[in-house]
Amino acid sequence: MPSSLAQPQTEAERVQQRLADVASRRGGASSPLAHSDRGLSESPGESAEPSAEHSKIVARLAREVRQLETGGRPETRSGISSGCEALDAYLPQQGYVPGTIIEYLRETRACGASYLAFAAAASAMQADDGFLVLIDNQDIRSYFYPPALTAHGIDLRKVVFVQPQSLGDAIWSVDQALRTPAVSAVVAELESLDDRSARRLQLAAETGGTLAFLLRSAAARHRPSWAEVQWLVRSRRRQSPLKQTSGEAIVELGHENQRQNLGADASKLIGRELQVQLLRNRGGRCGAQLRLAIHPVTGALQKVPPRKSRHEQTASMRLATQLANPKNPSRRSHAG
Amino acid sequence: MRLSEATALVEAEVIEQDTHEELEALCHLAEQMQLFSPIVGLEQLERKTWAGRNSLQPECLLLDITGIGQLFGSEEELVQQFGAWLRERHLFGCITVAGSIGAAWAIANYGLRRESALQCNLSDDDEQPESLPACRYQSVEVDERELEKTPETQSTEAGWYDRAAEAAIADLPIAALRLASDTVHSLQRLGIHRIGQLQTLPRQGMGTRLGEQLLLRWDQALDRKEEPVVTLHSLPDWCLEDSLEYPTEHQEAIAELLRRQGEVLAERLQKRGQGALRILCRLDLVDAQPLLMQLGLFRPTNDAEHLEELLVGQLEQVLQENSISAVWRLSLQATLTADMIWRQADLFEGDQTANRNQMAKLIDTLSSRLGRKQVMVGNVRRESQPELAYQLQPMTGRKQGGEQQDTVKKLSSRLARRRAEPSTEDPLRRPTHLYKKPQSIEVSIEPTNEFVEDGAHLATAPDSFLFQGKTYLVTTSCGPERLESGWWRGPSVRRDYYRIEVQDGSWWWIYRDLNTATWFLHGIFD
Repeated sequence: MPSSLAQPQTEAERVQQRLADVASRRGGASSPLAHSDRGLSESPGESAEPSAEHSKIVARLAREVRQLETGGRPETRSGISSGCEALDAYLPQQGYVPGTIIEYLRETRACGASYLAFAAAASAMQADDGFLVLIDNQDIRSYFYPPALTAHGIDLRKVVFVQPQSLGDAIWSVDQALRTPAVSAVVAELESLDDRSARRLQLAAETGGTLAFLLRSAAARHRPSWAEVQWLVRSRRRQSPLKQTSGEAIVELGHENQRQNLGADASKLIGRELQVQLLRNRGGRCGAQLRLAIHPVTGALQKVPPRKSRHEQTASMRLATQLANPKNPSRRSHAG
Repeated sequence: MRLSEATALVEAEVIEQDTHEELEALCHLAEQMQLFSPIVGLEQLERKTWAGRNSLQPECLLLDITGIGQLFGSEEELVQQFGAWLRERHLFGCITVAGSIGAAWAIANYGLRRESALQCNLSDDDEQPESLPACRYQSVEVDERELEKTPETQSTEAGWYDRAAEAAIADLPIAALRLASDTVHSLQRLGIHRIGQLQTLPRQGMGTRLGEQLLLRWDQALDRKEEPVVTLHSLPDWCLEDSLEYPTEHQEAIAELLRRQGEVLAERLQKRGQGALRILCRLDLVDAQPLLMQLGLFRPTNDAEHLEELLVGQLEQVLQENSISAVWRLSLQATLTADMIWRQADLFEGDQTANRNQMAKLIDTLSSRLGRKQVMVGNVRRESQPELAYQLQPMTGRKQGGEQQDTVKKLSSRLARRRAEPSTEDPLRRPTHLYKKPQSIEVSIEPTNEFVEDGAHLATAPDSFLFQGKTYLVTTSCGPERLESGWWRGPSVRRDYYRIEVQDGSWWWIYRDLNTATWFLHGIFD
């Protein structure tokens, strides 16, 4: 039975209001929901320690909000990994819940959103041994390149490529694929999607228990969405702008491809960095930003620890230098 | 002549033969040919390719015109009308009327078709297509005088037909009997080159020495053994049309008429166990363009009430939006239908079987609406040229006999293959999206980065490039990865590929064509 969200949303707002009241009575301590847009990396910065009773109330109310937001879905239902442990950590079920819509919004055209979608689709296919349906873009002159899927360990025998001619056909195809329980995941390029169609897709996903990964542009960020999770993906420029890192040539000889490595060095292979932001996360916190690195050889997605600021990097060094330098006049005078 | 040799001689656009498309066209033609005969079918192939044929693909259509000639005046009239009908469709046919399929096939393929091909080769290039005949035809006819000489009984008449057929095909090559290449080769070694020469061989030992197929085909050609035309069943016509006695603008009258048509359509669908997936309704208006309404359904339905509700609802919506003039004709057609029969679940059906059945159903549904070329499965090939490194094939289509193939079986055989395609590339080596046609870009390379040796530019990535009016600065690049195609595929393709990162962090896949020294964008790493 699809969840009806009109009533719970107002209910959720009421509980959030109560939560905010409790937080204000605590003397400025912010609730996790009230500050959901500030991100996980930021600390609330409260001064007074909350009492045990308050914490209990806040935890209970947060749980209630989560249950209302997720349409009464049991919390114990396990999620399917997003293909990256760092991303799973931000999701309430440690992964994507089957039968939901996940949106990857691209800030630029070639930013790595498809890579994340393929990784998640590979994980979903592995989880229930199902099929993958790829719905191509109808307008753009490019299309999904099958060899890129094999690099993710996706078995091409279980992939169906659909190239619809119009947006209407594309939405219909996604709907049909989502209603099929044999399909583990649907990856679709849907640039424009109205509210009604999005709701239709959500119901279809719930019916079939299939995961839908929609690739859209960042313009969809401020539009209403029925997605369970929404990521904003942007490509990060590498820090070391080097040119001419490696060279390699493939020359086709006879029926065998002989690869001649012209001085290619594994250490020189380029990895890639992406920055993702959690814009929407039903039943969990949103706003988190993290940097991911794609390993150049294995293709694994790993979290990149946040770079320390220049001050943080040099402050300890300066102190150590100051302490180690006996000729420092201030220190000498202090010692004297 | 090989393709590589041909392309070396002339500049031509090479389009690969699509056997599925040809078969589809042939089946479509067969459906249309029911205008001339209710029994139309494709030639029935065997496991081995017949001598003289290159592929295991039906090329002939068979029509049973027994007793039909009189309806068109005579059999000759029928053939002439048929030829004119083909010409209207810009087709050229080699038509033979004979008492048996074997004789008709032999004369059409080896008597007329060969001659036509020869004439086409000899004729001037400037010859107008209009000057060509509509078709070439030949009838195996019994000489009336010969018939008159003997008392007319059924058996003797049949005997005369046999002789007439025998005489007509006697001079044709032995391959005209639809035989396998090895049988034809054996007969040629025995000095038998024409069908008529077969009579010189003793019939008793022929079957054991040269194969029973030879005797069967020979007998079929001479009509000693019957050979049926396997009919290609076409789709039933789901079209209803009502012309009004006088044009009307009365909405309720139009709605009532539509309701009745919906009821009749539902009844017809129920009889055949089918349900409509797409319905087209056309209102012909007085002094105005006809109004079209299309109804798309997610699941096939033949429920009269449901159809009526949908149709009338759609009609009311259309009438509200448009102020229409009087309607004089109303047509309703189910343009897409599907089986309503639900498959009974297997007793020991596992998850895997259930999955395959569901997927087959999905593929059929998608293909029926979007077209078979829009729903495909992919294979990775061992080719270095990126656009040839994979193959996308439609999952649905027809079998050789012309009937629709079973998607479940096709899916199962695909999954039963020993192993999946191995991952030969590291994940960042190949792009996630490839452009259908490489996009031309303008690049700029700083002179300090440009290496020139013997007048040729050596491998170096550009510093910036212009694509669709926007300049992108290259911050990082990886390459070159030199890809060269095999010489046997025609003019060699030599490219230096680079993975580049531009100022906004996007990754692109560009290459430099070494033959023309021009740059192209070929893919993106999304």
